[in-house]
Amino acid sequence: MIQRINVQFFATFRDIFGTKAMEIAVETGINIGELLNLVFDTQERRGKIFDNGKLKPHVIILKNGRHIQNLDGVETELKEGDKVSIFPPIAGG
Amino acid sequence: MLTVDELERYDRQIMLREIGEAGQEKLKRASVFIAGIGGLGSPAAIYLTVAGIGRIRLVDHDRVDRSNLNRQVLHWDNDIGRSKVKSATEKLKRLNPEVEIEAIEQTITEANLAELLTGFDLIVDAMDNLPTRYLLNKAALDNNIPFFHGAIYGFEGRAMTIIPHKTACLRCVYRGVIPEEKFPVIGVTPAVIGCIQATEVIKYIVGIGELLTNKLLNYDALNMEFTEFNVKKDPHCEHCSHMKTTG
Repeated sequence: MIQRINVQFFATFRDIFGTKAMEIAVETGINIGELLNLVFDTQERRGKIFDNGKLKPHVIILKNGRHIQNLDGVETELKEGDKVSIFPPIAGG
Repeated sequence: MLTVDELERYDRQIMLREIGEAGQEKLKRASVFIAGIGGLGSPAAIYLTVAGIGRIRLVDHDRVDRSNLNRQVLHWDNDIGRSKVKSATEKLKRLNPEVEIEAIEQTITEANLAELLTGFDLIVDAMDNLPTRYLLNKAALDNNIPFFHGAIYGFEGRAMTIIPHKTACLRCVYRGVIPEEKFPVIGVTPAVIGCIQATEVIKYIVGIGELLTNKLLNYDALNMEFTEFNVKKDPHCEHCSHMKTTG
């Protein structure tokens, strides 16, 4: 079965994807880590968030506004209609 | 006690039932530490100065560069090459001579931060890099000083208010570091975020309204969208997890 996930990008991730959001159709039961592998679909893009297969510490991922570190990290499961927000810290002043 | 001149100067905000003379006196008694007097620090300092904060300390090691002038509105063309804290202090004193403005031309470090903060009630984070923001966050928690975070990138800005022992801190949200590099920005973005920080400071001092605590506000100027993300205290946060939560 297919479910739709809404992915939002912020700051430098908007520059990488050239958009502020995308809707992606995925198989039921997918988790955040698997979603990220689908969304970051080239080696170059994956290099922006993964380091040796692990999520870089500065990358912030929220599911429906909740930080995945307070859920199950990259193992956090997704369901139809979930909103995943991906953003880096910003530090300009 | 407010002077006759102060009652006249602040008349329009004293009219606000949320502020009144009692609130204005609280503002006068407050002391605010502003870390960085660039794109965010300029609007934050301007609005805190005109609001009548009693004492403001500006800390920045930098000098004014021509490329700062699209956003750092306290620094003008004839200030290029001058110390930012001196340039800013000069204008702020002219804006409101009732406010005590202190200029400290220093780099904020782990070694000097506790001393720089001594005697100050609140910290405005108007820095331009993550490592110093982390230092400020930690010092705010260790010294039990409310911390008002703001940051920008291009057309985006973020703000968050941290009350030690009570709310999530910056480190509960942000980890790691990003490379320090020249970032794109248009002046209106830090203008909005710096004003949000100043608003939060005023609300906190007077004790009114709802603060941006346990929330990270994202401002997207390009699409004119404000998004709030709920943030929880991270039980493993390396800055605040050891602290006892109150309130």
